[in-house]
Amino acid sequence: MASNPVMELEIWKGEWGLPSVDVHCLEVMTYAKFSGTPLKTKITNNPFKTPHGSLPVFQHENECLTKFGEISAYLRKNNHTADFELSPKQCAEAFAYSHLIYEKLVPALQFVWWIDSKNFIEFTRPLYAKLLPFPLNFYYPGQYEKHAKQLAMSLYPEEDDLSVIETAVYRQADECLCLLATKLGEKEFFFGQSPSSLDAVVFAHLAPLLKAPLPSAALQNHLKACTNLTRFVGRVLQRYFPKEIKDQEQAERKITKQESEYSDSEFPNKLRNISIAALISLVAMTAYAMSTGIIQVVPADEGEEED
Amino acid sequence: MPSVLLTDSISFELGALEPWPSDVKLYQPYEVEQILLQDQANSLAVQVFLRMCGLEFQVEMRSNAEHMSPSGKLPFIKCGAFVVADLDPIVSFIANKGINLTDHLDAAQKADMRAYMSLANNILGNAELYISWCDENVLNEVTCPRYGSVYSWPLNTLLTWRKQKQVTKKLTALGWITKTLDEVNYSKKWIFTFADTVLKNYFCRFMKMSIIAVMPLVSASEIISISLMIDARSWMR
Repeated sequence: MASNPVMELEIWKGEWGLPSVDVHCLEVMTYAKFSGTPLKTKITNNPFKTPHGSLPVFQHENECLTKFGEISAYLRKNNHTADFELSPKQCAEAFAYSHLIYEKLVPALQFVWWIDSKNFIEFTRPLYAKLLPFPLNFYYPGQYEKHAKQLAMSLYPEEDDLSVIETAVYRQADECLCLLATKLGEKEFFFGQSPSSLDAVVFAHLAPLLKAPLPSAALQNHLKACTNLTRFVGRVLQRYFPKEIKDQEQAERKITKQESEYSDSEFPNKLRNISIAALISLVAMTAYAMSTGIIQVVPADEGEEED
Repeated sequence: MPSVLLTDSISFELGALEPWPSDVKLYQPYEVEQILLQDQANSLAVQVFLRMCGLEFQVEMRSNAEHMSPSGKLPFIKCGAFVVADLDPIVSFIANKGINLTDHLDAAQKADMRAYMSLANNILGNAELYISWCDENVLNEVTCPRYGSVYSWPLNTLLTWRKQKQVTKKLTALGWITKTLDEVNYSKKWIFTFADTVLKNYFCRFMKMSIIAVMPLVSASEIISISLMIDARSWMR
């Protein structure tokens, strides 16, 4: 492998104002922003050539890493860390809360994204089919769905019915969101004024859940009810990914402009068409009535009546 | 049969009305010959929790405790008409009766406690499973003989093989199967560092909370002793 002096990260493309749609890519990108790492992102949307068949892939000087734990350890070794202000106790808490998210929230996110059939058919599969190049868009969504189902079945081996597992998993996810909201409270970030690795992990897991236009949105609504978490996600996006917000606002403005132009151009035609149609129908009805004798135009004569 | 996960919440509401009976039994596999690392850790956690709450119970050992359990998880308690398995549901069940160890904690501290419990479950629990079922030496010398000790041939081989498949599937889904033994040991070292920090900061004030979090760590000493045993044997060879 050629030695690469610049830190590069291959990621999935971003939508809905996010830099990436994938949780793991977001984790690494947010941590890099928080720690001030000069990271170059490459939107490949192609997990085919990656070592483990998934994105993100981090490359720097012969190192090729895919997991967030490995990448953050590597960055820490190269003096890029977001946790320099944390005491040992806070580092322990950050580690513990990350594992709380991995244990309770990740299975629910897999459910929402891949296992819930309405979401999968109407949202996830079309999204990944759009992102992936042909012919991978036939293979990878099915693979990811299979992995998600395997995770769910292995966590609850005695249970065969997915809907029952779904209830239990969502209950745990709700509990996890409440715990995170309690921990954050009214603070800006989880450990005070400056962000840490825990903030990166929490943001990465909550942002897609919050921003994606999910058809089946029970968990999303629960997250929206935790207003401090919603504000936290918005704050991180505004401060560290302003370009993506601007891009999304521009895209939205373009769409609304197109829609209003379309309706404006249709509007005068509509009124004109309706009035012409009404006039024609009136004339036709009058002519028919006169021709069949329902209405007869009689010259005004004194005392004469028509039967 | 109605699902265990859904009927949990209903049974807890009903169970709240009854006081703690005097003949509560805790079921686990045989301690000397059969029980494995993770089940022993969970069983110890439940026993210590019940003792800390001041609740009476008796330990009953059964060879088929795993199959008797409603959700397949060990240990489980029989409390009057209710059978509840696994530490978290048992804690909720007892909390519904108005008995818990976290009354003196505020919401932020309870959140911290749950986070540390997740940490212990995730890292130590999975490390225990990995070492018991994925390390060849431990599997052949300790796990298989113990797990199959209560069955005759060929049942012991078949059931052990089935359990191993189940555990391997879970560890694959969680991404632990690709770790080497060194990485697993390294994760355990992190836990001890954090446990040290937690105990130093919390021990004086929140003794009980920290002990609950630390309970599964007791099993860590078993992990170490087994690892040392295996290392010693391989060194001797």
